[in-house]
Formats: sequence, structure tokens, C-alpha cells
Amino acid sequence: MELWNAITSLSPPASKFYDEMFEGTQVRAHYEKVQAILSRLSIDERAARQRQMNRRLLEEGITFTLSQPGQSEALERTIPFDLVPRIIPGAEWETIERGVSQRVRALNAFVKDVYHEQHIFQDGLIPRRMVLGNRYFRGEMMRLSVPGGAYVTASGIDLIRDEKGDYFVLEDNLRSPSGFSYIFKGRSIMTHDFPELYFSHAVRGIDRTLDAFRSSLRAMAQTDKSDPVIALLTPGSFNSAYFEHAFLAQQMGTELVEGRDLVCEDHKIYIRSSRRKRRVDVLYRRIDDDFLDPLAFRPDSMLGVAGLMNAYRFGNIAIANAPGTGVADDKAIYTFVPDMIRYYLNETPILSNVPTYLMSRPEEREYVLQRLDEMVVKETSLSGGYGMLIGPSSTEGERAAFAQKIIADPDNYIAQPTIKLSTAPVCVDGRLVSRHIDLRVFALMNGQRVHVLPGGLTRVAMKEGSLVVNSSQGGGCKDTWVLA
Amino acid sequence: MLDRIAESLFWIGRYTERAENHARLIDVYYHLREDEQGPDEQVWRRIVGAIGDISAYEEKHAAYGERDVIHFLTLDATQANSLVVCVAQARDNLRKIRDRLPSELWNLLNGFYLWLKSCDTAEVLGDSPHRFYQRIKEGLAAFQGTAVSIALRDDAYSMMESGRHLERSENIVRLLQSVLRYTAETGSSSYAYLMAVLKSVGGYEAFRRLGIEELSMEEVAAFLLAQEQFPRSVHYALASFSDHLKTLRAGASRSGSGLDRIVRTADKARSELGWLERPDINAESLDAVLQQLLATNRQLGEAMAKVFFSPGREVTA
Repeated sequence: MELWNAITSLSPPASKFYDEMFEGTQVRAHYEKVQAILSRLSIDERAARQRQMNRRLLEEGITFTLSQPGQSEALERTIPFDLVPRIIPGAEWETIERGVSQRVRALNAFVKDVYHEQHIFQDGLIPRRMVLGNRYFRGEMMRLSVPGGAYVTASGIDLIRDEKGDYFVLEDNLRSPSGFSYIFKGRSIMTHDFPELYFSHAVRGIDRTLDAFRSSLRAMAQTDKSDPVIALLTPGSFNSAYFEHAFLAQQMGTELVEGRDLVCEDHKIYIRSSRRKRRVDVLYRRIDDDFLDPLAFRPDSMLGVAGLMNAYRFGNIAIANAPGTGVADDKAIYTFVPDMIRYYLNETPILSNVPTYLMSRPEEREYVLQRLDEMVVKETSLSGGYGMLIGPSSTEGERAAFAQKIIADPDNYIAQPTIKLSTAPVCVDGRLVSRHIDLRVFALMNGQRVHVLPGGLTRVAMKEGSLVVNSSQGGGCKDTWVLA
Repeated sequence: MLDRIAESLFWIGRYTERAENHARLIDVYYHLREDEQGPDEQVWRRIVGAIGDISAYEEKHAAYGERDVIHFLTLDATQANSLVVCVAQARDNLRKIRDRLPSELWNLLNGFYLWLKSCDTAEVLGDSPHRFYQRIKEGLAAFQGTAVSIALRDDAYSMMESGRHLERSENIVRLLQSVLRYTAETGSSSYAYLMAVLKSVGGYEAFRRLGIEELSMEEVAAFLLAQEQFPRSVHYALASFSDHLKTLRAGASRSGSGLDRIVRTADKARSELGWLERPDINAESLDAVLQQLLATNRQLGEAMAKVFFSPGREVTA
């Protein structure tokens, strides 16, 4: 790509990864216009645009806070936004959309089954202990009927592409996935700060997703009121994702509340007020189950509302996502999702899983321990890029330490062969360089219908060669275009 | 409205207004220097006295000089009432409740704050202090203008505007107190000084248009206290404050005696100003009038905290 920077008509050399823009030395057809427009700009011009975009992120406070040990004050950081869009051709998207929708329906059916009849254990597809012993299993949810049967109202499914360009599901996020706001802000930045690029393509709009989101929440209200009160529960302005919470509340016109703003009376939840209090019908919560209700879960939680779970059990309030959905996005349960699709929907899985070894199975554990340097090992219940071993870039000492942890608590770990994330060009100081990316696709369930946001959040591992795209680990993002 | 949201909105109004008043004052005082008598040191001391806290200044700096004073009043992030701290406070309050006001307002204020924070005193002085303060006024005017232009006229707006007007009323009273002090110190008030005071509130031309012949301390005080058509008079500020509270009261379901009392107090102070005759305002009576207005302002601030904000929370001005 150095050459491509120097003489912009030339293409970069082929690599062992699937590249989104190049096939060998050829620019892929759906990237031709982008390539042409970008190569007309000088390095300085590209750098200037990139700076302008990042300045706007800062000015609009599109930040997340990162507290690091040994640092007294949390840093407000922007997520690096890249000016080269990620483009998905319409036909390719159609498969993703169907695949994600199918997956979310199956996962929702699974959660419902776990908290009701538990057919899937009785039929021997998934060992009962894997679910009931899971730290995200909530006994409180047993036999509780949930409005519209929607447990996973909002979900984010992470996709990657292997060296052939085939899509695989890497992870399901069913608790409170983050990233909606970056998609909308990224799109707004592209249309304002690079209009000639954006408007030279017919890109599918994303604004209707906010409508769909609001409708999904509204549909959960257990009331005849013509204007049910929807509130977004945030941990507060010090939370790392506060920008996202404020953004969603404002864009959907819902109330933004903290736990201390809510009060439970007579098994109903109200927003406190110096004047008239308002009853909340739907709570879209962005705090973990553990903190929702100090009476039901962690007694030391200052973020939740005492009495919320009782109000929920009485059917006086709907909660999205439902408590206890974490059992389905566990990294060990993940292995069974294709089976769930066949079991609950009687369909063939459209999107495949990345091959995954369960450390609780002795023969798979043996296999993995022998080749830790080729594997990525993850703790089943952690996310955000924490608690991982990336074999190829690890030291012998790290591998030995991790092997000990696996042997000590095999249930807690899974392993996957080192994934070959696809690459895409990224603008760094005006030069185009190659970086690994993934794609988080967002889905919204409304009753049994699933709306998939066209595109999603393309996350970029900004460090050269790195495979970690999480924003907490220095990842960036791109605007993602689905061509109409 | 939630207590904490009401409180934040009120302080957004107060701090943006306070920042604007600071910028106006510093700008005018700064450019008044040429006309001043006496050593430079004294001039800078007077500027600090008019806007900031003399003892806080003297704790930090051994002598009065241009660079230190401008830094202290404008860009010193560790100084409780400096301009950049007022803007930071407004921004922090807006950050906590940014879904309550149009996002354009957040973008403006946050961008403005980031710019101000990145400014450097030496560069400001080396460049053009007047242009710098002009930009500050414009930044704050953009914020207020956008609010007027697009914000929903709901409780949130009324709460923010009530904070703005209470702050304005208090600032004008304090400005007049510093005029009074100055006159006492120097024995008289110079023409240039009074003109600067009027200009600092953008009122010089209005003053002239009303056909007031004599530019005296008494006339200027009467104008800034009781001129009901001038938006930066105490009379106007208290009237707007009271109007916004009446709007809040109209939307309330339960009648609030506390809220009624605030409205009555503000209206009483305003109508007293309305009844003032020009001869009532002279060098001797002015001090008492200002003292009383300051007490009323403080009383209104405390009552707002009691009625609207979290009970038991300490209120800092």
C-alpha cells in the first residue's frame, strides 16, 4: 500500500487476509468510486479531512471515558473515526440480514425456553449445568412471562470474515450492546464532512432504525395509555457509555433517568419529581442485571431501583432487555447456537460460527493445550476484549500461565483458532494503511419481528497487525454502507 | 422535572450568563487603561476587585500585572470564578442533562469550551485581547441565540432562563457596587469610566437614545437599575425571572407555596424599582438600594434551591 500512496493509481500487494477493497491488485467493483475519489486527494488533503472529522467528534462530545488504574481522573476519549467507509454490496447484506434475524429469533426462543419449560435440556442438546450454573442465569426469571415474549429487544451480533471473505459470527451480545450512537454520528460526519464521497453512492439510510427501536420499546408497554412512558436507565454521566445513553434518549424522545431518579411505590415505578411524578411503563436499561435492584440482586448497588423486580413480576413495568438474557451470550453457549436454530426454528443456519473448542470437553481441551500458540482463548463470561489470550502474539510465560488457569477451571474457557479478520484500508496521517476490522450488526426485536440496522458498526483495530477491535483497547470505527 | 435536572438547567443559565458578563467587563476595563490616572499596578488591582476576588489573587500572585491579572480572571482553571471555569461549569451541567436541551446547544457549548480551554494567556495578549473577548461574547451569544431559536418552550427552558436572569440581576447590582466603590476611592467618576461601565453592558447607545443629557453616576445607576426597556437592567432581569417562574407555576399540578413566594419576592423588588424616582437615586441612597437588591437576589437564589433542587444539597454561588 506504500506504493499506492506514492502513485495512487497502483494497488497494494496481496496479503493472506481477505481485503475489503482489493482483490489481489484489483479494486473490487463496489469500491471503485471510493478508490477513485480518495486517490484524487493528496496525502495532506486526506490528513486534513481526517483531522476535521476527529475534531468534530471531540466538539460534539462523542466520547467514552476510560478510567485506568493509577490515574486519578478518567479520560474523555474519542473513538478514532476513519474516513474510508466500509462498503457492503446489497446482495451480501441480504444474507447477513437474514442470518442475523434468524440467529436473534433462535436466541430469543432459547432464553424463553430456559426460563420456562427447558425442553432443550430434556432433549439433551445442551447440558443443563452449563446454563443453570452460569453466572448470568437468573432464577428470578423462571416462569415469568415477558411482554410479547421479547427477551432480547436490542442485540448486537459481531461478524468477521475469513481469508475467503465468508462471514462468521464471532460473538452474540444480548445484554446491553453498545455502539448505536457511533453509527449515527459516523454517518452524520460522513454526510457533512465528506459529502462528495457519500453522495456519489446510493447508501441505505439508517434513520428508520431509531423509529424501529422506539416502536420495539413501546410495544412492550403493558398499558392502554396512548403515550406510555419509556425511560432509559443509565448508570449516570460518569459511565463510559454515557454519550450513547444521552444520544439514544434524545433521538428516541425517551426519558433519561438514573436509579436515584426512580422510586417504587405499590409495585409501580415512578420518575420522582418536585411536581408530578410519572409512572414508567417501559424501562430500557443500560446497567447490568446485578445492579438493577438491590433487593433482588446485589444489595450494595447504588445504580438500580429497590423494588424494580417486584414491579416487573407484577407486570407493572417492562424491562428491555429482560434480566437473564446473559445466559445466551455466554461464550460457551455460543457453540450451540447453530443447534438452537435447527431446534427452535427448524431452519438451516445462514451464518456459521467460528469453530470453537469447549475446554470442559477433555479431548478438545487436550487438543487446544497442545497448540495454544495458534489459539485465541477467552473467558466465557467476559467481554470487551478482557481476559483473553491471543496465542500467536503471546509469550511462552503467558501461555503457561493461561494453561494453568484453563486446567483449574475448564468450564470458564473456550478456545478458537486464531481468526483471520478481514482487512480494510484506513487513513493514518493521510496515508492509507491496512488494518483488521469486524462488524457489529444491531438487531431490534418487536414481538417476533426483527429489524436489522442496515450496515452496523465496523470496528477497526488501529494498531498495525492487531486483532483487537474493542474501543476500550484502542479500537476505532468506520461508517458502514449497505448499497441500495 | 427531576430535582437534579432542574438544578443543572438553572446553573447552565447562571454560568453562561456569568461568563458573558465577565467577558464584557474584562474587555471594557482592559481597554480603559489609557485613560486611567496613577500607576499601572493600581489599575490592575481595580480590575481584579471589580470582577474577581482580591484576596484569592494575592494568594497566588505577588504583584499586579497585565499577564497575571488577565490569566487569573480568564484562563486560570484553578480559580473558582474565572471565565474558563464558568464555562466549564455550564458545560459539565449540560453534559449531565444533555438530552433535555437540543443537541445543537451541547455541540456549541462543548466546542466553545474546548476552544477556550486551549487558549493561552501569552498568545491572547500577543494577539488581540479585544478580538479574544469578542469571540467569547460571540460564542456565548451563539449558545443563547440557538436556545431562543430552537429550544422547546418547556419547563427546562424556563428553568434555564430563570437562572440566566437571576444571575444577570445580581451581576448588574455588583457592577454598580464596584462603580460606587470606585467613585468613593477617587472622589469622582470620570466620564470615560462611566462610559466604559455603560459599554460593558452594551447600554451606552440605549442610554443616549433615551435622551439622557448628563452622563453622571446617578443617571447611569438609575438607567441600569430601573430602565424597563433595557434588557440588562435589574428591573428587566427580575421581570423576566419572574415571568419564567410563572410559566413553571402554570404547568405545575400541585400548587407550590414556595414557588408563589419566589414570584412575590421578585415582583416586589421589581415594582419597588419601578417606583423609584430619579431624585431617589443619589450617591447617599444608592448604597442602601444596592445592598437591599443584593440581599433579595441572594434570597431568591436560596429559595430556588429549596423549592426545586435536591433538599439538603448545599448551594454554591
